[in-house]
Amino acid sequence: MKLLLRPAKQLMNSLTYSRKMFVAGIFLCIPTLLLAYFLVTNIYEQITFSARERIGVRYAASLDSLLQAVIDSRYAAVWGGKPRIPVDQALAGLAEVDSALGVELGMGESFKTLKTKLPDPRGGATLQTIGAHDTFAAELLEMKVQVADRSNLTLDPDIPSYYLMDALITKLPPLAETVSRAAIVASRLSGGPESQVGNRAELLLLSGGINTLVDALKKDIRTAAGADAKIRDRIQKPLLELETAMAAFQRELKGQRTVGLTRSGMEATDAVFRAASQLSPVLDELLGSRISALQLKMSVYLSLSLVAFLLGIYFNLACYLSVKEGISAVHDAARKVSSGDLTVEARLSSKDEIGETCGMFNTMTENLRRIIVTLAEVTEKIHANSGAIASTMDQQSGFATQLSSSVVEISSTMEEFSSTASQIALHSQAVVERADKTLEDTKNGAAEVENLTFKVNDISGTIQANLSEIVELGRKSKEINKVMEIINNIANQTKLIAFNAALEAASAGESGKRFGVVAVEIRRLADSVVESTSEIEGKITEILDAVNRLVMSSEKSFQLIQEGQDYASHTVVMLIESVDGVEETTSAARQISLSTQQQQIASSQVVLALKDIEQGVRFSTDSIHRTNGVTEELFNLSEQLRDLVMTFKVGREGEQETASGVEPR
Amino acid sequence: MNDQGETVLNLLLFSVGGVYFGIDSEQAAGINAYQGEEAGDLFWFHNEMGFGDATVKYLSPTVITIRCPDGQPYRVIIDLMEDIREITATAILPFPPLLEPFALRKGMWGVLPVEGRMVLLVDFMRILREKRVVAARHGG
Repeated sequence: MKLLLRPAKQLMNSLTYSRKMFVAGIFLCIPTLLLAYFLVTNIYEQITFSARERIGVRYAASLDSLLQAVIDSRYAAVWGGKPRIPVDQALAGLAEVDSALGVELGMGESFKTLKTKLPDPRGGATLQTIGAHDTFAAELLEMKVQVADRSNLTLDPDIPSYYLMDALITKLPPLAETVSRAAIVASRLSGGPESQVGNRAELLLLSGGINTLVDALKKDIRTAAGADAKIRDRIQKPLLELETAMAAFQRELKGQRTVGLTRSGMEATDAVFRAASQLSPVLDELLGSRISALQLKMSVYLSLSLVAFLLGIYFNLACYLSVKEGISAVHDAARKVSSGDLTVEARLSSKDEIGETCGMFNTMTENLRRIIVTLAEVTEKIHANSGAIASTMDQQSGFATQLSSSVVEISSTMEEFSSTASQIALHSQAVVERADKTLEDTKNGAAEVENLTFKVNDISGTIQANLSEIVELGRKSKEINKVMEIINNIANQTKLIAFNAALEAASAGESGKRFGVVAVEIRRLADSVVESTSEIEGKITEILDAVNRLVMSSEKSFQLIQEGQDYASHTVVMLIESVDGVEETTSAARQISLSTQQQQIASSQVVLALKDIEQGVRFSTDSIHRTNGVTEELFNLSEQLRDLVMTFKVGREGEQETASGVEPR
Repeated sequence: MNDQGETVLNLLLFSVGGVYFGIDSEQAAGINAYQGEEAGDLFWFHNEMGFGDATVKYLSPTVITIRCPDGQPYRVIIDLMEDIREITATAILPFPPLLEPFALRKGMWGVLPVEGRMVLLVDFMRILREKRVVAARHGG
């Protein structure tokens, strides 16, 4: 199937859509036109066929008229008198019909031949003349059969017309001729016995032929009438008249009365031609009706075909315009999209596949626009991130270089560490020895601290005794203070006495001045005593304060000594515990010495590992440099991608913006 | 009178509540230490001078026995005795005229500047007279 369709598909692929529609429309309309053509042609042929039949009917009617004239002329030749229808007149009528229709039927030669055989009406009742009439009648009958053949009457497809044609062509003319000959033959029987031998036999034959023809005619008429009820009455009536005339003629034949035979023969002949003249229009009407029906049918077919054709063209054009509109919408939108404009929208109101395609195209454009916008954002992020990665990779490159140098330094440091570890191993041995010494010293220290504890206890007792003495000192100082208060009171009283003495001296006047001087001196002495006692009180107060502070200090010292005793006891305990700890320390130092030796070995291995790390860092640095190059390439690619994305226009309605949504940087 | 012919006074200087006062030693009959006793002729100096409700702390209360002309007992409790000093009358400054009536009503009759301090001179006789006038007005 595909192979069969390939050429058509290739042809369609090479055409634009409008030409495709045109070609498809042409190939869809051609069968309609051809079908209409064949139908109309067929009907036209049928019309032509029937029209030719009608020509044959008319030509045959003229032949019947001529035959009737010939038979009448033969009657006149036999029985005397003048023929009712002159043969010349009938022949002129036939010539007129032949000039009009003979060419159509190709009867020219036959008609010429017929005219040469025309009997001479002046020949009388001779056998020659009668024979000429017989020959001419036979030519007429043969010519009528030719007319029937050439006018398609013998090929008529309808039953009524066919049987009517058969009655008119092959039954009625021979019947008329046979009846005429039978009448003439019967008329000869009256001539004498010698004339009866041959004529009687011929008459029998002719009578039988008449019966046969009448029966056949009746059969034709009945068949035609049975097939078409409309013509039944019109064709049965002439038949009945014909049958009546034929019955009368048969009775005259049996009676062999010459006068009766002549009259009945002529009447029978007239009845035959009258029946022919009545059946011929019926046949013509049947053919005319058929032609009318065919013409109507042809008109209907033509109209329907034309309407179908016009409708086909109309809907084809509408389909073309609809599809073209849809395709143009998609085409225009696709052209804008191909130029990078993603804001376009294919507008189409049709609900067909193209309309759905427009919808899907719009959805696709919308999705593409979203994708482009997202791609733009992603590109921006990639761009920014690639830049950040590039700078980070630069930093990492620097870090890697530093790391490489650091690893080298660590490596050298570890080598130094390895050598140092050897020294530590040596020193740890010394530590072990020192730990042993420390253990011994710690034991000695514990003993010394124990002695210290005893000494501190002695000091504590001494301080407590001193504290009692100081308290006693404070108490005595307070007693001194009381004594000083007494002295002070005495000084005050002395001062008051001195004041009173001064008052007395002042009141004594000049004589009391010396006494006033003594009173003043006493008062000053009292003031000095008061001042001295005040100073003494201050000193004693200071002493009391000092004593208090000393007491408090001594108490604090005593507490500290007590705490010192506690600490010394704890120290003794701790020193005893320290002895155990130092022993453990010594053991640990030995372990450290061993571990240090192992560490020396391990550090050597670390040095080797660091060299491997150094090599790895160098490789890593190279990789970072390569990654840096790739990142720069990624940066350039993201920039190209951003430029590419920015060729798309994805703005909303009324907006004009690039795909990135921001001004290009 | 002194050798230069100037009038001299022997003033007994004391302090009460940080304020220095002075009286003519002629008005003091004797000085005794205050032992906490109470009597009808014994008055606190700050009450006599009308210090009001101000709290006055006496560090060394001393009783001065005022020499009254009519022999009536009159003793005043003062604070620290400072000195007995002979001064000339010219060293005494009167109160300003605007303050003098009020000062005299309280028994203060002059101001003596001594060693940068201002000593208010008090006349116990005048105070006593004022007390007796007031007591007479109140029927007592």
